[in-house]
Amino acid sequence: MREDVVLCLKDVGFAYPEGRQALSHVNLTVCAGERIAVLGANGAGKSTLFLLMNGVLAPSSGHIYYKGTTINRRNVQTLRKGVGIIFQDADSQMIAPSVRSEISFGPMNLKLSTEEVAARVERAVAYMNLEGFEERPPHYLSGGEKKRVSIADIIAMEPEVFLFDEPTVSLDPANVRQLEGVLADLAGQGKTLLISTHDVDFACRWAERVLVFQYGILRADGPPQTVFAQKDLCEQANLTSPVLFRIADMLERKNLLREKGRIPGTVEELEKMLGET
Amino acid sequence: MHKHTHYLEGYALASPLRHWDPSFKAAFSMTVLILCLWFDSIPVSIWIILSMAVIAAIWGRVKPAEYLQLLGIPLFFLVFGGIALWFVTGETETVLHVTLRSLGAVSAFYFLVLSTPVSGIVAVLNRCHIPGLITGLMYLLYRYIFILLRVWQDMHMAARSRLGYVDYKTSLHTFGAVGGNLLAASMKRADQCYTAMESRCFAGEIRFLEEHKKCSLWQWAFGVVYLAGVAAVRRLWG
Repeated sequence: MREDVVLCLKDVGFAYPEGRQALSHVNLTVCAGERIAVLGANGAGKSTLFLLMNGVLAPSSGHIYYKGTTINRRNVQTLRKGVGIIFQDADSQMIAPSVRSEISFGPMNLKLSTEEVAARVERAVAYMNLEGFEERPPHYLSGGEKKRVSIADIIAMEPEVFLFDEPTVSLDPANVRQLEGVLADLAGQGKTLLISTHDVDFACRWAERVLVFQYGILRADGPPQTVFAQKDLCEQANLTSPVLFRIADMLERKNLLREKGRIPGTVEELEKMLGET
Repeated sequence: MHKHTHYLEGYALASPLRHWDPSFKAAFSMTVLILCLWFDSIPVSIWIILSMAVIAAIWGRVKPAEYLQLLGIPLFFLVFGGIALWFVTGETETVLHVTLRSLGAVSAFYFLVLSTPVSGIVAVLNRCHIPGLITGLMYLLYRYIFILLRVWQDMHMAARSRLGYVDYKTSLHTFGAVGGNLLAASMKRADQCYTAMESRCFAGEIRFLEEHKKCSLWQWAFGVVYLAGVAAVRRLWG
């Protein structure tokens, strides 16, 4: 096993009180600094997986390990300190009457000194370009601004692992670009990032590893090129192939590719495969 | 209802007085309110009503017409209360006393409300050692008023777009359905909110970072001069 494993799920299952089995026998390790996209149709178990990884839900079966330690009721706060989750609906995450108070909620719960909390809030505000919004109540913000505040909430807690639950939903292209910038920056800082998404193109260009869930079962785990090459699996999991793959496939069928049998991860790679025409 | 809740905090957020120490503003406002009630004097009440209006207009940057509109809400109830009192007592002076005294107290309170966002007011309550459970609930209630209003507006609009309010009978039916859904939505929201709080290491007490604003000498001077002015009005004109 790699030494830099941050999170490890061993045979994890979870059933909601009404009996719905959301996850079954999930075995998964997450290493420090990885960029992972979690894919699957609605109800596939992506959000449940994130809530388990953050410790909000306790597994019905199996075990979760954070840095080698089994997580239980007594030490669950250790997991929550180390793994931050940004919810899909930013409104449901916000509870404070102003942006500054909102961002300070997590660090205050970490029992840090007031000076440290103030410094972290200031850094998170600057990082997410929220200067001037500090005193504004969350209900006066636009959707994109709320999303930025919800990310700043977690950045101020300085976790090692960030879980983004469908972060691009209801964001306009400009906000999506800004979000991608933040993701790139966090990845540059060595943070471990997991994103649940339906956007296969985004997953293809951003992630170095893709997890595909179907009916609560982990169906595939590997690099995007390998996972998306399994067309049957993608079809069964209701995933479309990334546009790049479809273009490469079409070009190959028309004998327009100089390099064949390879799957492009980026536009630049596809361009190289095309060669000079 | 929503418009005015929205409005009041909008004024507080736009007011240059929001930078003043909320504790000072609360103490000043309460002192003026108590003096207004204690002195029970028509000139003092008028002085407080007028001076607070001037402060709101000049320092708070509230347009006079809007201030009058805001004052019109309590005034409406005070006038009706005054009429009822006049029928009971038949004394015009008593009615005038009570109405002006009440309006003076409301004006003093408006100084605080129109210049202090909710976070500042709750910070003052925290400093007064109000139990964290109560202030925590206040934070959540305040936040969820707006979230539920938003949910209600969305449902109302969706129902309207499908002719849900086309006639009286349909409107009543739709109103009931929206109300029922709102209850279900509020339960779901509460659950989501608790999950989000737990995910950020919530351990039973809602605590936020409070900004401590210092009260300047100039603000103290203003407070002292204003209160001396109230006392002088009381002495000169009763």
